[in-house]
Amino acid sequence: MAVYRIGNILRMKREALGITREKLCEMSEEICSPQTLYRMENGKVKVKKEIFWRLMECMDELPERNYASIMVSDYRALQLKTEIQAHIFHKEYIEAEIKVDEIKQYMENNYVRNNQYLQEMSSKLAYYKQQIYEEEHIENLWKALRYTIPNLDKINFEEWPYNCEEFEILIAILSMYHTTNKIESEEKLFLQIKKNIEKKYVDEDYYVSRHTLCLVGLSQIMSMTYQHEKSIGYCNEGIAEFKNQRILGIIYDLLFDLAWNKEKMIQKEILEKEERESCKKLLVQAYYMSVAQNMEYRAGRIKRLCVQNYSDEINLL
Amino acid sequence: MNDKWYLVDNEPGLFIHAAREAKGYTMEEICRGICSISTLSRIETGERVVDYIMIEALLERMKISKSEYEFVLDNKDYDEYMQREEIRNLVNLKKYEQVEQKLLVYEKKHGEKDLHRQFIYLQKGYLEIYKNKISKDKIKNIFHEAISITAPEYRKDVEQNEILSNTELCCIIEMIELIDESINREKKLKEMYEYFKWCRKKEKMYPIPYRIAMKYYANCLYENGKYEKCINICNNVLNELYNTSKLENRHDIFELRAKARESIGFNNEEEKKQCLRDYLTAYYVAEFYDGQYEVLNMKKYIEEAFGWQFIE
Repeated sequence: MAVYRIGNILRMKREALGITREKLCEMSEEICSPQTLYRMENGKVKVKKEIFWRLMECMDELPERNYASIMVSDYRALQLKTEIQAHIFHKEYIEAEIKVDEIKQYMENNYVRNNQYLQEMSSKLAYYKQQIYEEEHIENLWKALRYTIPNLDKINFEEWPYNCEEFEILIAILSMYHTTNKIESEEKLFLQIKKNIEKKYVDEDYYVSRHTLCLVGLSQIMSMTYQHEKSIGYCNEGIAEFKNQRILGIIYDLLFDLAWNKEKMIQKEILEKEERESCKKLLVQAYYMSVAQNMEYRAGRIKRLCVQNYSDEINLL
Repeated sequence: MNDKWYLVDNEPGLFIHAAREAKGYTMEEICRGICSISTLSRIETGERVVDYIMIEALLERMKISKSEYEFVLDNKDYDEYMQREEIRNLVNLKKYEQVEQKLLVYEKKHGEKDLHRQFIYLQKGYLEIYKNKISKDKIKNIFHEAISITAPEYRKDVEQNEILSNTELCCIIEMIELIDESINREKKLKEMYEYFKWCRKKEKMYPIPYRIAMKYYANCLYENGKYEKCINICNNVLNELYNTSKLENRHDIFELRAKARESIGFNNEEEKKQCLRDYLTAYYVAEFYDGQYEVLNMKKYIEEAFGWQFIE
């Protein structure tokens, strides 16, 4: 998860709701002056906890005074949450379901954060177990998001300081847009989230993983819509970021997409034939990067494509 | 404390309290050398607010990493944390000139405070290893100085059930790696291996410094001609690294495993192929992140030993 900068949270939330400092201070019955608020937002003075929560309350932050993902009465619940995530990652839905049931006993059900989490989980599991269709799942996810962001339609999406759970939901929505081929919605949401992340209100690790995810997503959308040049742009930006931050992760997707788009542009005779050599190199890189991340399935796919397009020109082990 | 209190209430103190009780650590175990018991108990009730560096140290003693919590930090505290992250990052990127500069600035501001000083000494140690201008003993002293700040009783041996933070573990690992004699080093690294196995049993996961320690261990085993064991340790580290998206120089492990496989020799074509695959993985990853000049030797070697033709 993440650590956040208090001043950025205050400023972003205020701007997402479109209210001025003066207005916010007025709403809080002058708990501080606009000048003090300005200093707090910019880190010039220490933010007292009571003032922070009073201001957050005025901005619709939930009464449980909490910026975290769930509210529980036992540490065990947090461990369960981690375990559930791992089960879902490994496609062990029955185990996940049992633990979702178990986690409920540690949760007070009148807290919206908990309801948000449970709604998200039950919909995910129902979808994975093919009990509901994509459309219903997407609807459920938006509903889950509304638990903590009731004025979802009115806020400025790019400004809202999302916590981890809210972000997870957005990612789930994006992946469903992808599955159901809603390319326009996917692109729009990806661009908004990318701008949001670039406001840097969370720590570096979190920033990098989310930001690269956006670049990979956008490059894929551009590929799918045959906007090769744009896709190449996102690929290059992403590859540079992975490289500078020394992140391996899903870099193979970007290297692969870059090769694929270049290939298309060669076919359209926009790029020179000589570029084909660089495509081969990119595919080899993509292959070994996926091996280094133990993504044998992905490696196999790259290999098959190489055999198809380059027959014996590329030899992958 | 109230009957009805809630975890993750953005109160790091409550979080520490709940985690400590659930995991069964005593107050003494987690605050020893970091703060007094009475301070810890005031932190746990939320009466006392301390900087994130202390929260982090206390949580690390319980092997809790950032992936498990969400805190809103005060601006100044957050900015300091980001400065430390930047320095750590620059060390990883081997940009040592920048590290030196940033450390000086950081030291001027925070050099008086214990945990900050420990952070500074650890990074300084890394810096000196890279600069290679002072003796190994002097570098060892820097790490010893660092660990002594929070663990003054430390006697160069890891006790099986010692509760240590990541910073403390990093200091110990580097001190071991600086031992000249490779048999002795292997023995100490084996003890670390046992220590980490104990951690894993207790907390169901390896602390982050496990990766670096085991990399040193695998290297040392290779040096001492214990190839089978070396491959084993390489497999363990890689399995751990597959869970993270960070590079953490895993190409070194692939190269080491390739070398160990080669040293044992091949019984059939498949084994040879496995070895070459490791070499190529090491090569392409290293070439991408470190540049082609860093891998010229490896390239030449793969071409000669395996008759391999690279795509240019």
